[in-house]
Amino acid sequence: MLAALMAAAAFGPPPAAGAELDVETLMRSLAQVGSHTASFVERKHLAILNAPLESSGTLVYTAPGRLEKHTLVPRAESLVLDGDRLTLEDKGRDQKRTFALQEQPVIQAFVEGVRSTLAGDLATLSRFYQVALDGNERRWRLLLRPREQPMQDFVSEIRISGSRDRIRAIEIVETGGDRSVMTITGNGA
Amino acid sequence: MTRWALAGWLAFVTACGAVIARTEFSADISAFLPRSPTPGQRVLVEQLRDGVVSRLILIGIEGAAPEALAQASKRLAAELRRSEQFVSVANGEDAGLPGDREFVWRYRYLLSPAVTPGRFSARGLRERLEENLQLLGSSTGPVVRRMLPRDPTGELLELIEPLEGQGRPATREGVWFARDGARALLVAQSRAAGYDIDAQERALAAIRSAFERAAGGSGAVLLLAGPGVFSVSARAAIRGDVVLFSLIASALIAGLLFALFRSPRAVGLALLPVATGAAAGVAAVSLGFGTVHGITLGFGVTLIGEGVDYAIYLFTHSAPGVPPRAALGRIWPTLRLGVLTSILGFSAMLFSGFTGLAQLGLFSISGLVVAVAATRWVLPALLPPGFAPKVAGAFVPAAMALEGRAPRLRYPLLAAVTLAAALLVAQRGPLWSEELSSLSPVPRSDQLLDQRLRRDIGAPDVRYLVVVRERDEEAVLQGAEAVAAALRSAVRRGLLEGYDSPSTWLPSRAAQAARQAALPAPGTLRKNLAQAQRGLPYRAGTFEPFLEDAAAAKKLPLIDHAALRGTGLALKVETLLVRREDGWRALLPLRGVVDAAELAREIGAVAGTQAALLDLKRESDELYGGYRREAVVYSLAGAAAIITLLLVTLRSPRRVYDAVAPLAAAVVVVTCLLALVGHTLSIFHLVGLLLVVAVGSNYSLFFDRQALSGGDRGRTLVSLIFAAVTTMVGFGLLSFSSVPVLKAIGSTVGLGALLALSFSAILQRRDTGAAGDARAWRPAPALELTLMLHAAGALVLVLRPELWPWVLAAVAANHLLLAAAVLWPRGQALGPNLNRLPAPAAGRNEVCLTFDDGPDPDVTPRVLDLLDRHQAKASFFCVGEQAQSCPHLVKEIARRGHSVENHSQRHSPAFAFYGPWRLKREVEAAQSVIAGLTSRPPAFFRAPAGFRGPLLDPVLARCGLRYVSWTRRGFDAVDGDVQRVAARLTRDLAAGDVLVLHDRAYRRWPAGEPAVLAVLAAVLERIAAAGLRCVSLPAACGRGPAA
Repeated sequence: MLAALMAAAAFGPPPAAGAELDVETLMRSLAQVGSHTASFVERKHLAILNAPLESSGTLVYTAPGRLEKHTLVPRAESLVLDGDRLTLEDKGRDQKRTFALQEQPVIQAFVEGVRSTLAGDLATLSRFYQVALDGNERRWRLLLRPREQPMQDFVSEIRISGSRDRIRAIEIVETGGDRSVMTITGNGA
Repeated sequence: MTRWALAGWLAFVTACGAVIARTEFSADISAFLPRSPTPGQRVLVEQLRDGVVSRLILIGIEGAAPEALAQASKRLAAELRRSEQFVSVANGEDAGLPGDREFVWRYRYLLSPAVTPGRFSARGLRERLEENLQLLGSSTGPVVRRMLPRDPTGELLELIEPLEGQGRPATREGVWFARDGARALLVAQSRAAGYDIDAQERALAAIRSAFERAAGGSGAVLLLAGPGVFSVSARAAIRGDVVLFSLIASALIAGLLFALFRSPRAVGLALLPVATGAAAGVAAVSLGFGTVHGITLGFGVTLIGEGVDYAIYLFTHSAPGVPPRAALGRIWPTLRLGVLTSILGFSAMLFSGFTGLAQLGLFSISGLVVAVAATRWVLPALLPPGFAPKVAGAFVPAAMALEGRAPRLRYPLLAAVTLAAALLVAQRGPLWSEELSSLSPVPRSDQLLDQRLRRDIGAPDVRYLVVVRERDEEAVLQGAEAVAAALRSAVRRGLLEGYDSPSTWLPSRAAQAARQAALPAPGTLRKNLAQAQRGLPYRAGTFEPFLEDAAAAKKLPLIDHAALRGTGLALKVETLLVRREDGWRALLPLRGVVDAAELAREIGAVAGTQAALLDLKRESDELYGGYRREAVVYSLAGAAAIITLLLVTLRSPRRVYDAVAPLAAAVVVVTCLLALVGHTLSIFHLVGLLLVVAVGSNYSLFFDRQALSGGDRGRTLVSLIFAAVTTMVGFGLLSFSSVPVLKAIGSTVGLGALLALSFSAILQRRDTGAAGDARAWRPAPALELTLMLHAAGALVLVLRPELWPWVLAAVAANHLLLAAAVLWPRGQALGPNLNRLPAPAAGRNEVCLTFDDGPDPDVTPRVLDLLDRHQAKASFFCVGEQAQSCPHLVKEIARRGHSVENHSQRHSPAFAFYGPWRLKREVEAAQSVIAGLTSRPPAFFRAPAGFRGPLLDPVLARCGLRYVSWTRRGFDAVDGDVQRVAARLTRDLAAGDVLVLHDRAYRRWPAGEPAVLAVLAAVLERIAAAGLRCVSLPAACGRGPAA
């Protein structure tokens, strides 16, 4: 279903059911969103595996810069990004590690785009990524390409699609071909 | 003689010069650390000298905007990494040594402790693959995905995980920063060990020049801290101090000498013994210790101040017409005694466990001995005939005036000492510093900077270490592995945060071989993997790289030191794995220890190896405590030795007391002043106090010499004052040094020497000769001390009431001692006490017979007759009441030419306990009774049974009476055996003896004859046989009619 949406988007913007959108306006409206909770389902397509991996859980966003991803299935863990600090907790092994986001460039490459978008922080987003937008207010899609190393080593493109001021899906394309697609529901979109 | 002396001196100086030319000078801080006895202390010292910690240089950059600081940090790090002097430079950039990563990756199957046969069985592999599936889906998926094809069992993670517990500083702009963003931080590890100060200096210079290039104009400031930095700056400070202070001291002292003598030749000659002594001191230390420490040279400055004293004494006593040799003859005994006490003081340092202090002791002793010897034998030979530098005129009268007025300050001084003692006892804060760091030669500001940088970086304070001891390298690595396994489990249970071990990067051959064997053969591994993969979604062929690596690992040569070369891990292993004469040691530093006691138990329980948990802080505190105890013991021993020497030489406790009292007062006052200024006292202050006693004794002894005429006394005074001033200059200059050793000793002795001289002048006892002069009376030592102790005790109670048990104990002890003094009839403690005739009387072969408790109508007339028969004159100590009942007898005694003296009015057994008014009544009553009967009032007094109370002395002084005890008594009042009594009285009979008998019939022969008469007859015969004359006391003491 999602793939179809993506394909449709690739052939051009849908008939303009709403006003034309530019990045600044989108960012502003996203910035105004306060805290909310949603559920996610994530599918990872890895080259070394011949079947996708699926995980699900909840996402909690607290303006302006706190993002929590609590995975329940298949392995309980949580990732909390608060400003500059990243906390990974592996509930199965009862391990908790905290570090600065810059120390884990791999994770930063993945997470920075999502967090900045949720916060409506165009400045940070532009610093790390080339930003392109297509779609309209009802259905938009942000395309982010990392500008510099080391993020370029890991991620080739991040595609965030949503409707109005809510995000619906996040797709991350890694260098090397691996892909992960996260669908977000229950956040009022 | 002259030629021999000169030749000898030249030869000696040449020999010293030869030794000095080949001497090595060092500024190694660890010379002031112990010749360590315990293994724990040895580890501590090793760590401080060349452990990992000693190679760290902490770098801070501050003073600009964070972006500029970050730039500077990156550029500086890049340049330093290119330099050969640094093994690693960490600043937060992930530019860790590629060598390290490659090494770990290449040898991961030999390094990882998780490599066991089970891990590579089909089931083991399946478990890992399943877990990896989950991890791939998690947030760390991307990280895992990259390693998976080559390392599905996750050995890399196993190896890296323990390292994660390390404290990391905050990061900004990609580099390490202090939390408040004001400072960028770097940690450099030098290739050279901490004790190689030259190499450390080069490394620091490299950092500074690299910083100039990296951030020259941006206004940023470079901060450096760390053991290497300390060593370098300490050495520079010591060097600077030595040169500067020697120059200043020499200049000042030369100036003083010139002001005193107004003759350049005198100045030059006076400095000769000093120079010789200094050369001898350096040579002696070089021969005795192998190297000379810079601090020892710094201490040499004090030698300049002291060594010049002897020449001053010599010159001031050489008047025209008094050749130097004669002057020397006069002052030599006192000089020699002064030198001996100084030597005893420095000897205490010689025996201490500190190499550094022992060097100071040896230096000072050799320097002093040679300086005195040069003054004694070489200077007179070098002085031109008739050489008598005139002491500049104004000094003598000024000195005499000062000295004349000094005794007025006696009571203020005693009050000050009492106050100082009370303040010291009542001191609320700790008086003594508790820590080894107080001995560190590093200035406080540098220590604070180091602490700040360390906190910012999160560099661990290495406090806990596990030490494993074995005979050879393989055994010690195996032991370390066993301990590491126990530590891993302890980490999991939260007993500590993390640890480091040499066996992590250089496992024992046994462990490596076991791991290599645990890897299955390639074919088996492929089969196991295929089985494990069944049903899991991994694409075929994903793990080919893993199979290749595993096969290669089976053929890898085992890791040894060569394999580590070129990586930063090599240095780490080198410092954690040390070789000593008695075997090998592995050190495992621990981080974040939560429960040391439990950990120690668990480590002790590790089987098969000798491992122990070391608490470096506790070791160093105990070390310091040990030193302090030792220092106290040696200082007390030194003081005791000095007092013993004085007792042996001066032979009179009273004279020793007079010599030592000003020194004790100086010590108390100096300690109190130091405490008030806020210094906590260290071992070096203690040493300084001992030196105050040693050096100050030179001054107080001079005041003991009473047989000095006016001119001599003036010259002696001037020489003393100048000697004290030069000593004060020498030591006082050191108190400006930044080296704590020198500063402590300098300030203590500089002040103490001056006080010792002043107090000696103030407290001096002047024998006025006429003891009947009531104005000149001064309380006896025991009385003074008692009053002072009670006053101090009262003050202490006011300031700190909770100390009352101690005050009570002190007062009780005081009274016990007083009681003991009362029971010692011949002692001087309670006041002047004539217990033998003065020297002139002894010279005339005179002895004195005294008779107590008379007059008695039965015995006295017969005694008088007996005395007449032998033409002997005696003194009769009469009891007032008895005199009143037999007044004619008293008159008869006086008529026959004997003297009548005072033995109290009623002869009460409780006389010693009377209060002052009752004493006064007793003494004065008897005085007036006897004076009424004879033409002259008594001049002497003896207490009933010889027990004088402490309060008697002032009463006697008021009445103009002099106290007399005896040299010999017969106990004729209790013993009826005539021969025995007579023997007691006349054993070792000598001129100047005072004998006591009783002209009362205490004992009678069976026939009723008083025994004393027979005794007296026997005694008189023996006196005559010995060629001695019996005279009365007044005659013997030069007062009253000749016998």
